[in-house]
Amino acid sequence: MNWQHFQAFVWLRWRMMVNQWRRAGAFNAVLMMVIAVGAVVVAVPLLIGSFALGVNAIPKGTPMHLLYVWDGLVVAFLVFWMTGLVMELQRSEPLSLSKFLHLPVSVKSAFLINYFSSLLRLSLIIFVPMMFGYSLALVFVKGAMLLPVLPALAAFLLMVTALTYQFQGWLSSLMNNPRRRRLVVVAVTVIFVLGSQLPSLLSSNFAPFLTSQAEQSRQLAKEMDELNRAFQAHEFDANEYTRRLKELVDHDELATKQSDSELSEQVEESALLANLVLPIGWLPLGVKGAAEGRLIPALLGILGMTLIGSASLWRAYRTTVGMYQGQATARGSQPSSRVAATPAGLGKTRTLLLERRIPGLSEPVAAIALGGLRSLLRSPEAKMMLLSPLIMAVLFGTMLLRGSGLQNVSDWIRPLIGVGAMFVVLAGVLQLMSNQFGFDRGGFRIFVLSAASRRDILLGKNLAFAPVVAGMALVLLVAVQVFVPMRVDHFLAMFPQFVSMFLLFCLLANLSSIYAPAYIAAGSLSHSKPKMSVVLRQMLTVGILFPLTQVPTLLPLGIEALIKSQGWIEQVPVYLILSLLQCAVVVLIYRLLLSWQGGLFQSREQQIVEIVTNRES
Amino acid sequence: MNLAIETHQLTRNFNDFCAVGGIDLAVERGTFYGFLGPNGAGKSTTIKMLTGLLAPSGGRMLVLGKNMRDPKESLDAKRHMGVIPEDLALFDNLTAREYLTFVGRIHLMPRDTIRNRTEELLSVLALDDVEKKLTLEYSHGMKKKLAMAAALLPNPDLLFLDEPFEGVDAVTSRVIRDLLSGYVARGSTVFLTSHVLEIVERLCTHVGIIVKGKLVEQGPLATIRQGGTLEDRFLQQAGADSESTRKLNWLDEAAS
Repeated sequence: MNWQHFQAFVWLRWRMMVNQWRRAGAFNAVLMMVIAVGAVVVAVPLLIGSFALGVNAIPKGTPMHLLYVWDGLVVAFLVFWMTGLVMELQRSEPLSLSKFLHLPVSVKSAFLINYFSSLLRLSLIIFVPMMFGYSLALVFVKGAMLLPVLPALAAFLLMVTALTYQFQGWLSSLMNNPRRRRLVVVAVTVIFVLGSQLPSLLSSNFAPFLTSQAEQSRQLAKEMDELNRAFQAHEFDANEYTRRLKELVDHDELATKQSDSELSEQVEESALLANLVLPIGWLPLGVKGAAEGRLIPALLGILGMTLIGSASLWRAYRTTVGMYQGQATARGSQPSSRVAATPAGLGKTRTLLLERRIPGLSEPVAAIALGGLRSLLRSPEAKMMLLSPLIMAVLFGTMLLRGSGLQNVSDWIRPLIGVGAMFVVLAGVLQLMSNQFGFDRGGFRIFVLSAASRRDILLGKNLAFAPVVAGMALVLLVAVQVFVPMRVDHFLAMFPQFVSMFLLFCLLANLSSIYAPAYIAAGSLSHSKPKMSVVLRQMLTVGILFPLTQVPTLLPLGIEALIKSQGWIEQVPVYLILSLLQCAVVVLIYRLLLSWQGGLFQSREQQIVEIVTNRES
Repeated sequence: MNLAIETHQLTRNFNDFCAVGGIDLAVERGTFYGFLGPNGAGKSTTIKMLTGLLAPSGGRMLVLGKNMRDPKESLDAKRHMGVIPEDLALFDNLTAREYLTFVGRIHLMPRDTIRNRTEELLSVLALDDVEKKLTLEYSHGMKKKLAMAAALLPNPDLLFLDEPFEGVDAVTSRVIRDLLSGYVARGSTVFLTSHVLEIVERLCTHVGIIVKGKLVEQGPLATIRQGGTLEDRFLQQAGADSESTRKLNWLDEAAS
């Protein structure tokens, strides 16, 4: 391994990182630079600090406490490490080693240098001194029996870095195809996001214990009230009151202790199982075992983690060699079998989605709507964003259904749950729709260059989302109707209400797209280097204007609730009738305002095209 | 004179930088107009302004007799224009056939016409064997060809082509040249920028040269050449510095 090459690789990674920061703005570059320098500077104090903290805290803790501390350290480290990985994946520069293989560097050197230089990450600079300091404290406090924690830490770091490196190599060969690249980026992000939801799912696992404790407190308060009432009514004397009160408190303490102990046992069991099953838990498990005087778990952990790390490195090396010999490139350049298998002339007879007509709509509107829908359904990042309302609904819905009171809600609250579901769907597509042109990127030029009326373009853009949004809303409404059934007329009223909600939402989304467009990098989900004014305008849209525009759609339900509560009219589906009326009014407003928005759009289209097609905007 | 493009003091500033400084273009209908200039001279900025992709900072511009600064008139002009912009205007997630169908419908073309022309364009431009691929999987040359197909699809009266031959293979380049020659022969107009002077010399009837945002020369090709080659004239106008190549004399040394 050539030292000069190593320096060059380290420098390259550093420059790529700095340039990435710089692209996000001068302030961000300075901030990140300060953080990077600060991390290096605080590495030594972190080592000393964690050692000192460990020396003070370890004598008080049990082996199980040590396991929890190490679990916390491992999870925190992995969150930082994976965040860095996701950020690196979303960068435009591919991670491929193929960029280096044409240079005068041997394959083995290129592999090793790239691996070692990949260790230059903030998470490693911060966490390794911390973990090392804490390990030294363990040895210092508990004695030589804890010495295996040091090789276990090294094996853990080897395993994580080697697995990540192998993963990156595999991804880079996958990402030679730009279509797959976007899929990979989105899949990794989804896994990361879902993984971050695990703690809340786990906490809901322990919810029954917390619920029973709350129930117990309520019971105690009730019994004490009863006791006080009886004492006030002179049913017994003060001595009897004191005796009964003590009995109540003692009973409660016993029950609390029992509940705490059950919870603690459950957490302990779950933690031990998770540590045993997941290789990342072997380091904490080894520490616990060593603290209890058992070396076998630690030694097995070291062996297992070293084996995984070595196997990953070996596999990554084979991938590198394969790439050098052109295997990956050859596979990537082959035409897809799907194309080859397509019979000639098939396209002549089959009607494309984009060729279909939509009754009542002009040709440009239909083309824009169907083209937009086709793009949406093919774009992995859009699909992920469109799925998010369903994921949110499942998460929140499960939590709600676990609650005891949902089946007892009144007739007036049930439609509100349906409205809430529709609101979640709209909120889920808000990011996409409030920057409709941003997701077109270069394709937006075709709208500026076209002779289509700008009103038609906006209408087509809005309609592109309609089937997806309506489909998701329907799924959620049916689910709500199954789990929290509402009256038939209320259920039917949801449909015109949804049309009103969607059209008002479209008007807001159009304004936001016209006045706060932002460039979105291909395969990405977020704005690239957005201006503060744009961020503020979008925050205003999301946080204030979106809920505000939806409030009027609650009027029909509110009016029915008022009428029925006063007993003015009975047996008339007021909510349904008013929803239909409201829908007609909103359609009229939408038609009127859309022409006005078309004019606005035309007056700003050149500014929009500058922004949405320019990655530096 | 029947002009397809006419500008008066057309200007575009980016903050303090003047990209196009008051140019007066006059492109007659039925001509093949080559718009030349060194990198950063203002060619693409001019095309963007003429096609409505960029608002001018000042000046007047008429395209096909329509005032492009007037929203309604600019739409009228766009109905008769085809454009290959500098960075293209494709949608990543559509196939070539879908994209052309989309463009055709935006131009209110009948469905059968779109189908037939799409078929022919994909075949002529050798895109038919990759029509199942999304455009994001295309090479740069293939994207250029698809943009060319989209520009030709509505059979416009005026074509704006920004570097149409860049990254395109020799066979397709020949096909495009023939297509464009026939197109102009029928009375339509092409406004083209290219760095390949041989192509401009072979195709264009008229030439304009822009340097540092100023139109330094325009007119019929023969007049511009002044008996020499277009390259000589262009280099003369662009102020090429032959001294700079002499500074790299270490390239003459034998490799160690």
